[in-house]
Amino acid sequence: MSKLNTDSNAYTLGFLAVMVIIVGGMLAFVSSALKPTIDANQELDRRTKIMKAILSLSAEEEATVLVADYVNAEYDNKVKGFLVNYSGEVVEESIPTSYDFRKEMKDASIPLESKLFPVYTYESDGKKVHVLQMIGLGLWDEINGYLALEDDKETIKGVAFDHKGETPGLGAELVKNKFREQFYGQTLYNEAGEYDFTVYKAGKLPAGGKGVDGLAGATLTTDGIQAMVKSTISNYSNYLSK
Amino acid sequence: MSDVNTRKLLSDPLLDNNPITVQVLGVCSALAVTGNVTNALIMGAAVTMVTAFSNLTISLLRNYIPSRIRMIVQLVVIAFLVTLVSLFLQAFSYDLSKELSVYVGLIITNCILMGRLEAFALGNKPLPSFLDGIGNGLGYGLILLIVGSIRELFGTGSLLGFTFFGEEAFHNIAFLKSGFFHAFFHNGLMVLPIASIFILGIIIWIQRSKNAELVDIS
Repeated sequence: MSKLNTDSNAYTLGFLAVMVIIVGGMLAFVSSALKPTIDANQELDRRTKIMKAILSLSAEEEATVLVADYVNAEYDNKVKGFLVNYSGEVVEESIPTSYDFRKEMKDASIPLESKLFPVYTYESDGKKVHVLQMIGLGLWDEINGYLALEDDKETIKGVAFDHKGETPGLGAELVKNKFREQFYGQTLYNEAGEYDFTVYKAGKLPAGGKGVDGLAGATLTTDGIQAMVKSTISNYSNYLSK
Repeated sequence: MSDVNTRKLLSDPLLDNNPITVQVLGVCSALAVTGNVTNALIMGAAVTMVTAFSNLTISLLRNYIPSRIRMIVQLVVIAFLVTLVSLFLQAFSYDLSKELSVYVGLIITNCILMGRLEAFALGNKPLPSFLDGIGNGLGYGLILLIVGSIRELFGTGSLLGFTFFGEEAFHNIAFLKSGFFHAFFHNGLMVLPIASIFILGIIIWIQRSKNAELVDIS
């Protein structure tokens, strides 16, 4: 067999074409084969965060209770999602799949008054929990989460956070129970009915005072959380006062 | 191929020819993903997979790859494998893929991969290339593990998520509740990627002072 001339133009182009077809085909196959699993994972992750906010459990309880089957069963049976407008009126009885919260919040061409906000309600023992969706900016990138309020729409039931790129060990600690559990049972308003809830810089929480002690070594993430909670409550203020 | 050589292919990259401390490749990800041990382990495993199989593939194709586009071919093979790893992580270990976020994709730019393909796989048979890939992946993983352990232990007071230092440490073991373990205050520097530079520098220093052959006199 004569030696293959691997330096010729025809061979090079042919090699490239075959390589692209093989690699592209294999990637497309694997990607479409795994897509249902990946989508299910993302959906479960979203539901788990909502259930974390609603149930306001401790770390040990979350580890044992919040398994996939339980989360899906609770979510399907007891959680109802709908969209409200800025005036607090229910616009859509269910959240359409085309609705993208991140896009809706970031789209500067839609004025705040025309934006739609998702609300999830959870009913158990005749009591309703209202879950609001949050989005904000941390130190490096987006932070987001869910804020669950009691039936009175004033007291925080629980909260769940997520982030894209906060510093591990500092800002990224916002997902941990140690930080989140401070929110449980806090009220958002003062006696005069004004918004009064602060996520303080780490160590600056007044003794016996109301509010949440921030994340140590993550002042900007802490500020981001404070701003995110505040803007969320302001977005939903008309819904909450109804 | 003798047994001695096989063993050398695997053991050399762990110490005397370590990709990070001796070849000084792949340092960027070694700085970024070593904040805790779990990330370091997963990253080490992912890179080992990719180096091993990209070495194998390129070695199998080495006589057929047109030399003018060999780097493009190498990159395509690497990108293909990394995308596979990333997809599998998302499908079967979603929490970890979230934790590692962009770093899995960035394995593509890890110089160890290209370095081994150019330096070894293009000129060697498939089996030795495969072993060289595993060896280099493990060597990379070893350094990540060392740096990750130091950073997690002193930065957050825990290892693999289990708390050793600080207020939460040993909260149910009475005689350890006070004193040294409790007094520890988390070191903020260790949490940041900058700490890896210092730790890596010290590891390289120790390694070169033990083995004079590694010192590059020029």
